[in-house]
Amino acid sequence: MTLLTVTNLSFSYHKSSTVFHDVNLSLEAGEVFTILGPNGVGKSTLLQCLCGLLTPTKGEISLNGQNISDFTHRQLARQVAIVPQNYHINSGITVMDYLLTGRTPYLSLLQMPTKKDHEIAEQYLTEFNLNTLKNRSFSSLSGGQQQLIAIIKSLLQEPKLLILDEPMAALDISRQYELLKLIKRLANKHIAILLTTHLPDHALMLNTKIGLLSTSGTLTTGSTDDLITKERLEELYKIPLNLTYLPELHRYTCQILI
Amino acid sequence: MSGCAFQSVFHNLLVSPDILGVSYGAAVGAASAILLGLGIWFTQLFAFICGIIAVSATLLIARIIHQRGTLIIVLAGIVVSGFMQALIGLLKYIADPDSQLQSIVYWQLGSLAKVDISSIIAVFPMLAIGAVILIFFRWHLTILSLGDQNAQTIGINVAFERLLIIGASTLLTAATVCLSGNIGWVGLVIPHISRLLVGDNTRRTLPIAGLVGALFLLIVDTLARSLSAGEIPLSILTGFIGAPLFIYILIKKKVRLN
Repeated sequence: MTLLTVTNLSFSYHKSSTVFHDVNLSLEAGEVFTILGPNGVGKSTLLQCLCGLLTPTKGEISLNGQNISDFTHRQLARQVAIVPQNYHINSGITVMDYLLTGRTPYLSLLQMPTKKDHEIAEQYLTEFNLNTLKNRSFSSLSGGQQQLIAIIKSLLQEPKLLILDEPMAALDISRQYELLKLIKRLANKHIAILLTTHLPDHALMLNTKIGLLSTSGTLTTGSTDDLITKERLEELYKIPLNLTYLPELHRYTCQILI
Repeated sequence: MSGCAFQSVFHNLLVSPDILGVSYGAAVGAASAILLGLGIWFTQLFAFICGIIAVSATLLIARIIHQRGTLIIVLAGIVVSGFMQALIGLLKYIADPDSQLQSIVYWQLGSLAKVDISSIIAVFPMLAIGAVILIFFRWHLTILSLGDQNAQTIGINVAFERLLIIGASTLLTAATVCLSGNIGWVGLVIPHISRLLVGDNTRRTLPIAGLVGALFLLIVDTLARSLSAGEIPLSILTGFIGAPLFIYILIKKKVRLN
Protein backbone atom coordinates (compact mmCIF):
# COMPACT_ATOMS: atom_id res chain seq x y z
CA MET A 1 0.00 0.00 0.00
CA THR A 2 1.22 3.54 -0.71
CA LEU A 3 2.52 5.10 2.48
CA LEU A 4 1.53 8.72 1.89
CA THR A 5 -1.23 9.91 -0.39
CA VAL A 6 -2.10 13.56 -0.71
CA THR A 7 -5.27 14.30 -2.68
CA ASN A 8 -6.40 17.71 -3.91
CA LEU A 9 -4.84 19.47 -0.96
CA SER A 10 -5.42 23.19 -0.59
CA PHE A 11 -4.51 25.64 2.14
CA SER A 12 -5.41 29.27 2.65
CA TYR A 13 -4.76 31.50 5.64
CA HIS A 14 -7.74 33.69 4.75
CA LYS A 15 -10.26 33.51 1.91
CA SER A 16 -8.15 35.80 -0.23
CA SER A 17 -4.71 34.29 0.30
CA THR A 18 -4.39 30.75 -0.99
CA VAL A 19 -0.95 29.33 -0.35
CA PHE A 20 -1.35 26.23 -2.51
CA HIS A 21 -4.24 24.40 -4.12
CA ASP A 22 -5.03 21.00 -5.64
CA VAL A 23 -1.77 19.43 -4.55
CA ASN A 24 -1.47 15.73 -5.29
CA LEU A 25 1.45 13.52 -4.42
CA SER A 26 2.20 10.00 -3.28
CA LEU A 27 5.13 8.34 -1.58
CA GLU A 28 6.10 4.73 -0.93
CA ALA A 29 8.22 3.40 1.94
CA GLY A 30 11.90 4.03 1.27
CA GLU A 31 11.19 6.67 -1.39
CA VAL A 32 12.63 10.15 -1.26
CA PHE A 33 10.57 13.09 -2.50
CA THR A 34 12.05 16.54 -2.95
CA ILE A 35 9.87 19.63 -3.11
CA LEU A 36 11.63 22.42 -4.95
CA GLY A 37 10.46 26.00 -5.03
CA PRO A 38 11.52 29.57 -4.34
CA ASN A 39 11.55 31.02 -0.83
CA GLY A 40 8.16 31.95 0.57
CA VAL A 41 6.16 29.86 -1.90
CA GLY A 42 4.58 27.71 0.80
CA LYS A 43 6.83 24.66 1.11
CA SER A 44 6.92 24.86 4.92
CA THR A 45 3.16 25.39 5.02
CA LEU A 46 2.68 22.21 2.98
CA LEU A 47 4.95 20.28 5.32
CA GLN A 48 3.08 21.59 8.36
CA CYS A 49 -0.15 20.27 6.84
CA LEU A 50 1.48 16.88 6.27
CA CYS A 51 2.53 16.50 9.90
CA GLY A 52 -0.77 17.73 11.32
CA LEU A 53 0.34 21.14 12.56
CA LEU A 54 -2.01 22.92 10.17
CA THR A 55 -5.42 21.82 8.99
CA PRO A 56 -5.80 22.05 5.22
CA THR A 57 -8.68 24.02 3.81
CA LYS A 58 -9.56 21.25 1.38
CA GLY A 59 -8.34 17.82 0.40
CA GLU A 60 -7.07 14.78 2.19
CA ILE A 61 -3.82 13.41 3.54
CA SER A 62 -3.68 9.66 4.11
CA LEU A 63 -1.10 7.44 5.72
CA ASN A 64 -1.43 3.79 4.74
CA GLY A 65 -4.95 4.51 3.61
CA GLN A 66 -6.06 6.24 6.79
CA ASN A 67 -6.87 9.96 6.91
CA ILE A 68 -4.43 11.69 9.25
CA SER A 69 -7.24 13.69 10.84
CA ASP A 70 -8.39 10.37 12.36
CA PHE A 71 -5.10 9.95 14.20
CA THR A 72 -4.47 11.20 17.73
CA HIS A 73 -1.35 13.35 18.23
CA ARG A 74 0.47 10.37 19.65
CA GLN A 75 -0.52 7.98 16.86
CA LEU A 76 0.52 10.46 14.20
CA ALA A 77 3.85 11.08 15.96
CA ARG A 78 4.63 7.36 15.65
CA GLN A 79 4.21 7.57 11.91
CA VAL A 80 5.47 11.00 10.94
CA ALA A 81 8.42 12.98 12.28
CA ILE A 82 9.49 16.41 11.17
CA VAL A 83 12.78 18.24 11.51
CA PRO A 84 11.81 21.89 11.21
CA GLN A 85 13.92 24.55 9.60
CA ASN A 86 14.61 26.18 12.94
CA TYR A 87 15.52 23.82 15.79
CA HIS A 88 17.02 26.42 18.04
CA ILE A 89 15.81 25.94 21.61
CA ASN A 90 15.68 28.28 24.54
CA SER A 91 16.87 25.76 27.10
CA GLY A 92 20.10 24.28 28.38
CA ILE A 93 18.94 20.67 28.40
CA THR A 94 21.46 17.99 27.56
CA VAL A 95 21.65 16.19 24.23
CA MET A 96 20.47 12.98 25.89
CA ASP A 97 17.40 14.64 27.40
CA TYR A 98 16.66 16.28 24.06
CA LEU A 99 16.87 12.93 22.30
CA LEU A 100 14.66 11.28 24.91
CA THR A 101 11.84 13.68 24.05
CA GLY A 102 11.69 11.82 20.74
CA ARG A 103 10.47 8.72 22.58
CA THR A 104 7.34 10.54 23.82
CA PRO A 105 4.97 8.84 21.33
CA TYR A 106 5.82 5.51 22.97
CA LEU A 107 5.28 6.65 26.55
CA SER A 108 1.94 6.92 28.29
CA LEU A 109 0.75 10.32 29.48
CA LEU A 110 2.60 10.48 32.78
CA GLN A 111 5.39 8.05 32.01
CA MET A 112 9.06 9.08 32.16
CA PRO A 113 11.59 7.79 29.62
CA THR A 114 12.57 4.26 30.56
CA LYS A 115 15.90 2.44 30.60
CA LYS A 116 15.01 0.97 27.21
CA ASP A 117 14.49 4.48 25.81
CA HIS A 118 17.92 5.47 27.12
CA GLU A 119 19.42 2.40 25.46
CA ILE A 120 17.80 3.13 22.12
CA ALA A 121 19.08 6.72 22.24
CA GLU A 122 22.57 5.47 23.13
CA GLN A 123 22.50 3.08 20.19
CA TYR A 124 21.79 5.89 17.79
CA LEU A 125 24.52 8.06 19.31
CA THR A 126 26.96 5.18 18.87
CA GLU A 127 25.84 4.55 15.29
CA PHE A 128 26.49 8.19 14.43
CA ASN A 129 29.69 8.41 16.50
CA LEU A 130 28.27 11.12 18.71
CA ASN A 131 28.64 9.58 22.16
CA THR A 132 30.88 12.40 23.34
CA LEU A 133 27.99 14.84 22.94
CA LYS A 134 25.64 12.93 25.23
CA ASN A 135 25.93 15.15 28.30
CA ARG A 136 26.63 18.43 26.55
CA SER A 137 23.96 21.09 26.40
CA PHE A 138 22.12 21.02 23.09
CA SER A 139 22.40 24.78 22.71
CA SER A 140 26.19 24.60 22.90
CA LEU A 141 26.50 22.41 19.79
CA SER A 142 27.38 23.75 16.36
CA GLY A 143 24.58 24.20 13.82
CA GLY A 144 25.49 21.03 11.96
CA GLN A 145 25.64 18.98 15.16
CA GLN A 146 22.31 20.38 16.31
CA GLN A 147 20.71 19.39 13.05
CA LEU A 148 22.10 15.88 13.23
CA ILE A 149 20.85 15.50 16.79
CA ALA A 150 17.46 16.88 15.72
CA ILE A 151 17.32 14.26 12.97
CA ILE A 152 18.26 11.49 15.42
CA LYS A 153 15.53 12.71 17.77
CA SER A 154 13.08 12.35 14.91
CA LEU A 155 14.37 8.86 14.17
CA LEU A 156 13.69 7.93 17.81
CA GLN A 157 10.03 8.41 16.99
CA GLU A 158 10.49 5.38 14.67
CA PRO A 159 8.62 7.19 11.91
CA LYS A 160 7.57 5.69 8.62
CA LEU A 161 7.79 9.17 7.08
CA LEU A 162 10.53 11.66 7.89
CA ILE A 163 9.98 15.24 6.83
CA LEU A 164 12.92 17.61 6.56
CA ASP A 165 12.19 21.31 6.10
CA GLU A 166 15.03 22.98 4.17
CA PRO A 167 17.65 20.75 5.78
CA MET A 168 20.49 22.15 3.67
CA ALA A 169 19.76 25.79 4.30
CA ALA A 170 22.24 26.48 7.10
CA LEU A 171 24.90 23.92 6.24
CA ASP A 172 28.28 24.39 4.60
CA ILE A 173 29.09 22.15 1.66
CA SER A 174 30.82 19.44 3.66
CA ARG A 175 27.78 19.20 5.96
CA GLN A 176 25.50 19.19 2.94
CA TYR A 177 27.48 16.27 1.55
CA GLU A 178 27.12 14.37 4.85
CA LEU A 179 23.41 15.07 4.94
CA LEU A 180 22.85 13.90 1.38
CA LYS A 181 24.61 10.64 2.24
CA LEU A 182 22.50 10.32 5.39
CA ILE A 183 19.29 10.79 3.44
CA LYS A 184 20.25 7.98 1.08
CA ARG A 185 21.18 5.78 4.04
CA LEU A 186 17.82 6.37 5.74
CA ALA A 187 15.95 5.65 2.53
CA ASN A 188 17.68 2.28 2.41
CA LYS A 189 16.14 1.57 5.81
CA HIS A 190 12.69 1.93 4.25
CA ILE A 191 11.95 5.28 5.80
CA ALA A 192 10.12 7.52 3.34
CA ILE A 193 11.70 10.93 3.24
CA LEU A 194 10.14 14.16 2.11
CA LEU A 195 12.31 17.24 2.03
CA THR A 196 12.16 20.74 0.71
CA THR A 197 14.86 22.85 -0.82
CA HIS A 198 15.05 26.08 -2.73
CA LEU A 199 18.23 25.16 -4.61
CA PRO A 200 17.89 23.14 -7.83
CA ASP A 201 21.34 21.59 -7.34
CA HIS A 202 20.20 19.77 -4.22
CA ALA A 203 17.34 18.25 -6.14
CA LEU A 204 19.70 17.29 -8.96
CA MET A 205 22.13 15.65 -6.51
CA LEU A 206 19.39 13.61 -4.86
CA ASN A 207 17.78 12.60 -8.14
CA THR A 208 14.48 11.61 -6.58
CA LYS A 209 10.80 12.08 -7.29
CA ILE A 210 10.33 15.83 -7.51
CA GLY A 211 7.57 18.31 -6.93
CA LEU A 212 7.91 21.86 -8.23
CA LEU A 213 5.85 24.22 -6.06
CA SER A 214 5.26 27.44 -7.95
CA THR A 215 4.20 30.90 -6.80
CA SER A 216 0.78 30.24 -8.33
CA GLY A 217 0.31 27.54 -5.68
CA THR A 218 0.42 24.45 -7.86
CA LEU A 219 2.64 21.42 -7.41
CA THR A 220 3.90 19.67 -10.53
CA THR A 221 5.27 16.20 -9.80
CA GLY A 222 7.47 13.87 -11.77
CA SER A 223 11.02 12.58 -12.03
CA THR A 224 14.12 14.76 -11.83
CA ASP A 225 14.94 14.07 -15.49
CA ASP A 226 11.47 15.07 -16.65
CA LEU A 227 10.87 18.12 -14.50
CA ILE A 228 14.21 19.80 -14.01
CA THR A 229 14.64 21.55 -17.31
CA LYS A 230 15.97 24.99 -18.06
CA GLU A 231 12.52 26.23 -19.11
CA ARG A 232 10.72 24.98 -16.03
CA LEU A 233 13.35 26.33 -13.66
CA GLU A 234 13.36 29.74 -15.32
CA GLU A 235 9.58 29.81 -15.03
CA LEU A 236 9.78 28.80 -11.39
CA TYR A 237 12.46 31.26 -10.31
CA LYS A 238 11.88 34.00 -12.90
CA ILE A 239 15.61 34.43 -13.55
CA PRO A 240 17.91 33.27 -16.36
CA LEU A 241 19.69 29.99 -15.62
CA ASN A 242 21.49 27.21 -17.36
CA LEU A 243 21.79 23.45 -16.84
CA THR A 244 25.10 21.78 -17.62
CA TYR A 245 25.52 18.02 -17.85
CA LEU A 246 28.39 16.51 -15.83
CA PRO A 247 29.20 13.17 -17.50
CA GLU A 248 31.39 11.94 -14.62
CA LEU A 249 28.47 12.37 -12.20
CA HIS A 250 25.74 11.42 -14.69
CA ARG A 251 23.67 14.42 -13.77
CA TYR A 252 23.10 18.07 -14.47
CA THR A 253 24.15 21.07 -12.45
CA CYS A 254 22.46 24.47 -12.39
CA GLN A 255 24.08 27.89 -12.85
CA ILE A 256 22.58 31.35 -12.51
CA LEU A 257 23.40 33.41 -15.58
CA ILE A 258 24.79 36.64 -14.22
CA MET B 1 7.13 25.12 41.26
CA SER B 2 4.63 27.37 39.49
CA GLY B 3 7.52 29.52 38.33
CA CYS B 4 9.23 26.48 36.73
CA ALA B 5 5.99 25.46 35.09
CA PHE B 6 5.27 28.90 33.68
CA GLN B 7 8.82 29.37 32.44
CA SER B 8 8.53 26.09 30.53
CA VAL B 9 5.04 26.62 29.15
CA PHE B 10 5.74 30.17 28.02
CA HIS B 11 9.26 29.32 26.76
CA ASN B 12 10.62 32.33 28.60
CA LEU B 13 12.92 32.36 31.60
CA LEU B 14 11.78 35.83 32.68
CA VAL B 15 8.22 34.76 33.35
CA SER B 16 6.84 34.41 36.89
CA PRO B 17 3.55 32.96 38.14
CA ASP B 18 2.11 36.47 38.45
CA ILE B 19 2.12 36.97 34.73
CA LEU B 20 -1.49 35.95 34.18
CA GLY B 21 -2.87 38.17 36.92
CA VAL B 22 -3.30 35.80 39.89
CA SER B 23 -1.45 38.02 42.36
CA TYR B 24 -3.23 41.26 41.52
CA GLY B 25 -6.50 39.40 41.33
CA ALA B 26 -5.93 37.97 44.79
CA ALA B 27 -5.06 41.45 46.05
CA VAL B 28 -8.39 42.75 44.73
CA GLY B 29 -10.18 39.95 46.57
CA ALA B 30 -8.34 40.57 49.81
CA ALA B 31 -8.85 44.34 49.58
CA SER B 32 -12.57 43.84 48.96
CA ALA B 33 -12.89 41.63 52.02
CA ILE B 34 -10.98 44.13 54.15
CA LEU B 35 -13.17 46.98 52.91
CA LEU B 36 -16.29 44.98 53.73
CA GLY B 37 -14.96 44.48 57.26
CA LEU B 38 -14.93 40.70 56.92
CA GLY B 39 -12.51 38.62 58.98
CA ILE B 40 -9.26 36.96 58.00
CA TRP B 41 -10.94 33.78 56.79
CA PHE B 42 -13.04 35.71 54.27
CA THR B 43 -10.00 37.73 53.22
CA GLN B 44 -8.22 34.50 52.35
CA LEU B 45 -11.29 33.07 50.61
CA PHE B 46 -11.92 36.19 48.54
CA ALA B 47 -8.24 36.41 47.62
CA PHE B 48 -8.26 32.83 46.40
CA ILE B 49 -11.45 33.19 44.38
CA CYS B 50 -10.46 36.50 42.80
CA GLY B 51 -7.03 35.15 41.90
CA ILE B 52 -8.69 32.30 40.02
CA ILE B 53 -11.18 34.67 38.39
CA ALA B 54 -8.37 36.93 37.16
CA VAL B 55 -6.56 34.06 35.45
CA SER B 56 -9.82 32.72 34.04
CA ALA B 57 -10.48 36.17 32.56
CA THR B 58 -6.99 36.13 31.03
CA LEU B 59 -7.54 32.74 29.42
CA LEU B 60 -10.99 33.72 28.20
CA ILE B 61 -9.69 36.90 26.58
CA ALA B 62 -6.89 34.94 24.92
CA ARG B 63 -9.42 32.41 23.66
CA ILE B 64 -11.72 35.08 22.25
CA ILE B 65 -8.85 36.69 20.35
CA HIS B 66 -8.12 33.18 19.11
CA GLN B 67 -4.52 33.29 18.03
CA ARG B 68 -2.12 30.40 18.24
CA GLY B 69 0.77 30.45 20.64
CA THR B 70 1.48 31.70 24.10
CA LEU B 71 2.16 35.37 23.40
CA ILE B 72 -1.53 36.22 23.30
CA ILE B 73 -2.04 34.63 26.73
CA VAL B 74 0.79 36.73 28.16
CA LEU B 75 -0.62 39.91 26.61
CA ALA B 76 -4.07 39.12 28.00
CA GLY B 77 -2.43 38.57 31.39
CA ILE B 78 -0.79 41.98 31.22
CA VAL B 79 -4.14 43.57 30.39
CA VAL B 80 -5.96 41.79 33.23
CA SER B 81 -3.18 42.56 35.70
CA GLY B 82 -3.32 46.20 34.70
CA PHE B 83 -7.06 46.27 35.19
CA MET B 84 -6.73 44.60 38.59
CA GLN B 85 -4.06 47.11 39.61
CA ALA B 86 -6.42 49.91 38.72
CA LEU B 87 -9.13 48.22 40.81
CA ILE B 88 -6.78 47.94 43.77
CA GLY B 89 -5.97 51.61 43.38
CA LEU B 90 -9.66 52.40 43.53
CA LEU B 91 -10.22 50.21 46.57
CA LYS B 92 -7.29 51.82 48.35
CA TYR B 93 -8.67 55.24 47.45
CA ILE B 94 -12.04 54.56 49.04
CA ALA B 95 -10.63 52.67 52.02
CA ASP B 96 -10.62 54.23 55.48
CA PRO B 97 -7.08 55.60 55.81
CA ASP B 98 -6.97 54.98 59.56
CA SER B 99 -7.43 51.24 59.46
CA GLN B 100 -8.47 49.61 56.23
CA LEU B 101 -5.87 51.18 53.98
CA GLN B 102 -3.09 49.98 56.27
CA SER B 103 -4.47 46.45 56.24
CA ILE B 104 -4.66 46.39 52.45
CA VAL B 105 -1.11 47.70 52.06
CA TYR B 106 0.30 45.25 54.58
CA TRP B 107 -1.56 42.38 52.94
CA GLN B 108 0.02 43.27 49.63
CA LEU B 109 3.49 43.40 51.14
CA GLY B 110 3.23 39.81 52.28
CA SER B 111 3.44 38.09 55.65
CA LEU B 112 3.17 34.64 57.14
CA ALA B 113 2.04 36.01 60.51
CA LYS B 114 -1.64 35.28 60.01
CA VAL B 115 -1.14 31.78 58.66
CA ASP B 116 -2.36 29.13 61.08
CA ILE B 117 -3.02 25.42 60.90
CA SER B 118 -6.70 25.79 60.06
CA SER B 119 -6.01 28.00 57.04
CA ILE B 120 -3.30 25.61 55.84
CA ILE B 121 -5.76 22.74 56.14
CA ALA B 122 -8.33 24.78 54.23
CA VAL B 123 -6.05 25.35 51.26
CA PHE B 124 -4.29 22.01 51.45
CA PRO B 125 -6.52 20.29 48.86
CA MET B 126 -5.73 23.04 46.32
CA LEU B 127 -2.02 22.90 47.13
CA ALA B 128 -2.04 19.13 46.83
CA ILE B 129 -3.92 19.04 43.52
CA GLY B 130 -1.76 21.76 41.96
CA ALA B 131 1.50 20.27 43.18
CA VAL B 132 0.65 16.70 42.22
CA ILE B 133 -0.37 17.69 38.69
CA LEU B 134 2.83 19.67 38.18
CA ILE B 135 4.98 16.87 39.54
CA PHE B 136 3.31 14.30 37.31
CA PHE B 137 3.77 16.51 34.28
CA ARG B 138 7.35 17.58 35.02
CA TRP B 139 8.85 15.65 32.11
CA HIS B 140 6.25 17.08 29.73
CA LEU B 141 7.23 20.55 30.95
CA THR B 142 10.69 19.92 29.52
CA ILE B 143 9.12 18.91 26.24
CA LEU B 144 6.81 21.94 26.19
CA SER B 145 9.77 24.23 26.85
CA LEU B 146 11.22 23.13 23.51
CA GLY B 147 8.42 24.87 21.64
CA ASP B 148 4.76 24.19 20.93
CA GLN B 149 5.21 22.90 17.38
CA ASN B 150 8.04 20.62 18.44
CA ALA B 151 5.93 19.26 21.31
CA GLN B 152 2.91 18.64 19.13
CA THR B 153 4.84 16.78 16.45
CA ILE B 154 6.17 14.37 19.05
CA GLY B 155 2.67 13.54 20.25
CA ILE B 156 1.78 16.01 22.99
CA ASN B 157 -1.69 17.55 23.02
CA VAL B 158 -0.21 20.98 23.59
CA ALA B 159 -3.38 23.04 24.05
CA PHE B 160 -4.82 20.63 26.61
CA GLU B 161 -1.63 20.17 28.62
CA ARG B 162 -0.83 23.87 28.60
CA LEU B 163 -4.28 24.65 30.02
CA LEU B 164 -3.94 21.93 32.63
CA ILE B 165 -0.52 23.16 33.73
CA ILE B 166 -1.63 26.80 33.84
CA GLY B 167 -4.65 25.68 35.88
CA ALA B 168 -2.53 23.66 38.32
CA SER B 169 0.05 26.45 38.68
CA THR B 170 -2.68 29.02 39.25
CA LEU B 171 -4.33 26.82 41.88
CA LEU B 172 -0.99 26.49 43.63
CA THR B 173 -0.19 30.19 43.41
CA ALA B 174 -3.66 31.36 44.45
CA ALA B 175 -3.64 28.98 47.41
CA THR B 176 -0.33 30.37 48.66
CA VAL B 177 -1.01 34.03 47.86
CA CYS B 178 -4.36 33.96 49.63
CA LEU B 179 -2.57 32.97 52.83
CA SER B 180 0.52 35.09 52.63
CA GLY B 181 -0.27 37.99 50.36
CA ASN B 182 2.03 38.94 47.49
CA ILE B 183 5.58 37.79 48.02
CA GLY B 184 7.46 38.87 44.97
CA TRP B 185 10.56 37.44 43.27
CA VAL B 186 10.18 33.92 44.63
CA GLY B 187 8.40 32.57 41.56
CA LEU B 188 10.92 34.19 39.23
CA VAL B 189 14.24 33.56 40.96
CA ILE B 190 13.86 30.15 42.61
CA PRO B 191 13.48 28.26 39.27
CA HIS B 192 16.78 29.80 38.18
CA ILE B 193 18.52 28.73 41.39
CA SER B 194 17.09 25.28 40.89
CA ARG B 195 18.48 25.16 37.35
CA LEU B 196 21.89 26.21 38.61
CA LEU B 197 21.80 23.28 41.01
CA VAL B 198 20.46 20.44 38.85
CA GLY B 199 20.47 21.54 35.22
CA ASP B 200 17.68 22.48 32.84
CA ASN B 201 15.52 19.37 32.82
CA THR B 202 12.25 20.18 34.63
CA ARG B 203 12.05 16.56 35.64
CA ARG B 204 14.62 17.53 38.27
CA THR B 205 14.25 21.30 38.60
CA LEU B 206 10.55 21.27 39.47
CA PRO B 207 10.69 19.25 42.69
CA ILE B 208 13.98 20.94 43.67
CA ALA B 209 12.38 24.35 43.13
CA GLY B 210 9.66 23.34 45.58
CA LEU B 211 12.23 22.49 48.24
CA VAL B 212 14.51 25.46 47.59
CA GLY B 213 11.56 27.85 47.50
CA ALA B 214 10.28 26.59 50.83
CA LEU B 215 13.75 26.86 52.38
CA PHE B 216 14.24 30.34 50.96
CA LEU B 217 10.96 31.54 52.40
CA LEU B 218 11.77 30.04 55.81
CA ILE B 219 15.06 31.92 55.84
CA VAL B 220 13.45 35.16 54.71
CA ASP B 221 10.63 34.83 57.25
CA THR B 222 13.12 34.21 60.05
CA LEU B 223 15.10 37.26 58.97
CA ALA B 224 11.89 39.28 58.77
CA ARG B 225 11.12 38.56 62.39
CA SER B 226 14.67 38.90 63.67
CA LEU B 227 16.02 41.97 61.94
CA SER B 228 13.80 44.44 63.73
CA ALA B 229 11.37 44.68 66.62
CA GLY B 230 8.39 44.34 64.38
CA GLU B 231 7.96 41.97 61.45
CA ILE B 232 9.29 43.30 58.16
CA PRO B 233 6.87 42.48 55.34
CA LEU B 234 8.26 39.62 53.30
CA SER B 235 8.07 41.27 49.88
CA ILE B 236 10.51 43.91 51.05
CA LEU B 237 13.09 41.31 51.99
CA THR B 238 12.54 39.06 48.98
CA GLY B 239 12.95 42.14 46.81
CA PHE B 240 16.19 43.22 48.47
CA ILE B 241 17.59 39.70 48.36
CA GLY B 242 15.95 38.49 45.17
CA ALA B 243 16.90 41.30 42.82
CA PRO B 244 20.70 41.18 43.37
CA LEU B 245 20.55 37.39 43.51
CA PHE B 246 18.87 37.34 40.12
CA ILE B 247 21.55 39.56 38.62
CA TYR B 248 24.20 37.28 40.07
CA ILE B 249 22.48 34.25 38.52
CA LEU B 250 22.19 35.98 35.14
CA ILE B 251 25.87 36.86 35.15
CA LYS B 252 27.00 33.49 36.43
CA LYS B 253 24.95 31.39 34.10
CA LYS B 254 24.95 33.81 31.15
CA VAL B 255 21.36 32.74 30.85
CA ARG B 256 20.02 32.62 27.35
CA LEU B 257 16.89 34.68 27.59
CA ASN B 258 15.71 34.76 24.01
